[in-house]
Amino acid sequence: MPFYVGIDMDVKHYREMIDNLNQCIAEENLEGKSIFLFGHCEATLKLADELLKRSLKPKAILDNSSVKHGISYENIPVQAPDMVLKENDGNTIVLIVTRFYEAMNAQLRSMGFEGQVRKLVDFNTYAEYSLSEQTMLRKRRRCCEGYKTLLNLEERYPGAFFILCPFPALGDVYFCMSYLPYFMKDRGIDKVTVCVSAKSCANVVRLFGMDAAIFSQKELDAAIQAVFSMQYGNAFVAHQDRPYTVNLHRALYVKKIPLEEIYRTGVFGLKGGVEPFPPTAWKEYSGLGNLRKGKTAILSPYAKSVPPLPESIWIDIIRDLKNKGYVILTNTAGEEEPLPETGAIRPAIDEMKSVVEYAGLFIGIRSGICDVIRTADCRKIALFPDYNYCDTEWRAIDMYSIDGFENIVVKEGFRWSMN
Amino acid sequence: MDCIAKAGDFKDLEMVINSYDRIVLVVDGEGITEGLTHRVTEYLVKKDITKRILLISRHGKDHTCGRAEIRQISEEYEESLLSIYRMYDFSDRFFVLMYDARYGSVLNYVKNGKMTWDEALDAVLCGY
Repeated sequence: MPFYVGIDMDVKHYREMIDNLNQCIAEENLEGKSIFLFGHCEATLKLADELLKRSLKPKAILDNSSVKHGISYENIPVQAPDMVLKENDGNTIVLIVTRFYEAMNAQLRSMGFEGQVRKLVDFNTYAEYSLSEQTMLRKRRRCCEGYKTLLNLEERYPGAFFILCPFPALGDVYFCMSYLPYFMKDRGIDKVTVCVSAKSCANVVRLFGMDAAIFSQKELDAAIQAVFSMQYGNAFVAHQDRPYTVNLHRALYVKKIPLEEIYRTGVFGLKGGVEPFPPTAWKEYSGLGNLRKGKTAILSPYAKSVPPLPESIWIDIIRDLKNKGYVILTNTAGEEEPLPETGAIRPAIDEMKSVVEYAGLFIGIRSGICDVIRTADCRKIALFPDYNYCDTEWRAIDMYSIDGFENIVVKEGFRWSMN
Repeated sequence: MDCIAKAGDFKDLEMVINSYDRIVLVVDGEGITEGLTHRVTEYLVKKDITKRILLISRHGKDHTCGRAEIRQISEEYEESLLSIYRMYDFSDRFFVLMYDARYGSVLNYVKNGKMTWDEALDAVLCGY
């Protein structure tokens, strides 16, 4: 069975989950039902929190990864999916908040599960495992909507070729932009507009001096679907595992190919030795004068799609940096809180390089921010939680190790030390 | 299997999908995909495939090798399948092996020497 690796949620998906959960509670009388969740990921844990807040305790979190069986979250055990068959009746409901809803539902049905399965967030608008006329009609309409989006783009950006980035991850967009100029040259493209679904990703695009257009995720998904369905020739979908037509991630079942190489060789079809283009459109952070030059540490503990590090690790790091005389700031965005005993700093993406270069030291969980500052001239340390990349045998460090950084894996029993 | 020969009957396609672990539509083209069906067929013949795989192609010849089956389809049916596949992801058991200039592919790895053909086909046919 495949392991489904979920992603963390943005605010919009979180609200969608809450709305659908409330509707589900109103319709299904969840208080009297056996509730199971499928897919042990950040989004599922958030759903578990919401259920517990409403005094609804799931019986188990189902997951295909045997490594996770036996662990628990808030006393909810993680178990193999076939455990749900012990309560295989109309009184059992499985709630799913990952992009693999369709595959998970199909798996449960093939196992013989006859209870209800309900999707609470539509993370994957491409999939619907049905060939019914109604489904096809709905999907056809969606393609027409997507095509309208493409036509609107043509009006807004005349003469441009469109690069569509299906997933709002800074690192993915960074790699895309690093190799895009070669792709443009190969195909004789003078001008591009890069379409993304998050402001932060648009900011990464602009770091490379190119136009960005921001869409909602569903609009962008529909436009991508229209590119395929209408055989639209003026666009390219630049991602390594989305949408479903892209098979690059399957190569990882037989060979280790780091993420940057996937973009260079797999996505854009370039030769292995081609060097990435650096971002150039940097700005200087206006508050540099408030930092202690060369003796400030910028900590970056937050990441969207990476398991968080235990807070105790950060506490050890902070204690050590204090002993060494550093001023310590936590890089935050949105509702993120600074780490204990540190100040907050909120530079824009195009100001990050100036901040870390002035500060002198960056220590962060391996996230897209590390990619953004990879060309910064300062000491940079990337901390890698010790997890497998998706359902492959490769560890995070195999995929994301980054030149110019000290790459450190945080395993069980890890003790922080810095010379 | 009759449904494989005719176009538009997607109810039967659902039954076919449920009968195999993986259904692969192979589309031959130019460059790296020239002779692709023949290449995939050779791979299936020499490999001891443990999964139930159905390879369908305009350029295939009906053949069974171990648990893998190869079936020829009409151009019209290939078009119908491609049309629906491009419209949405209707099954995690069905996929298309072809070159499309609109997105990346493992075929780029083969073209640039990052993977051998056997590795690429191991990945897309058996690596799941």
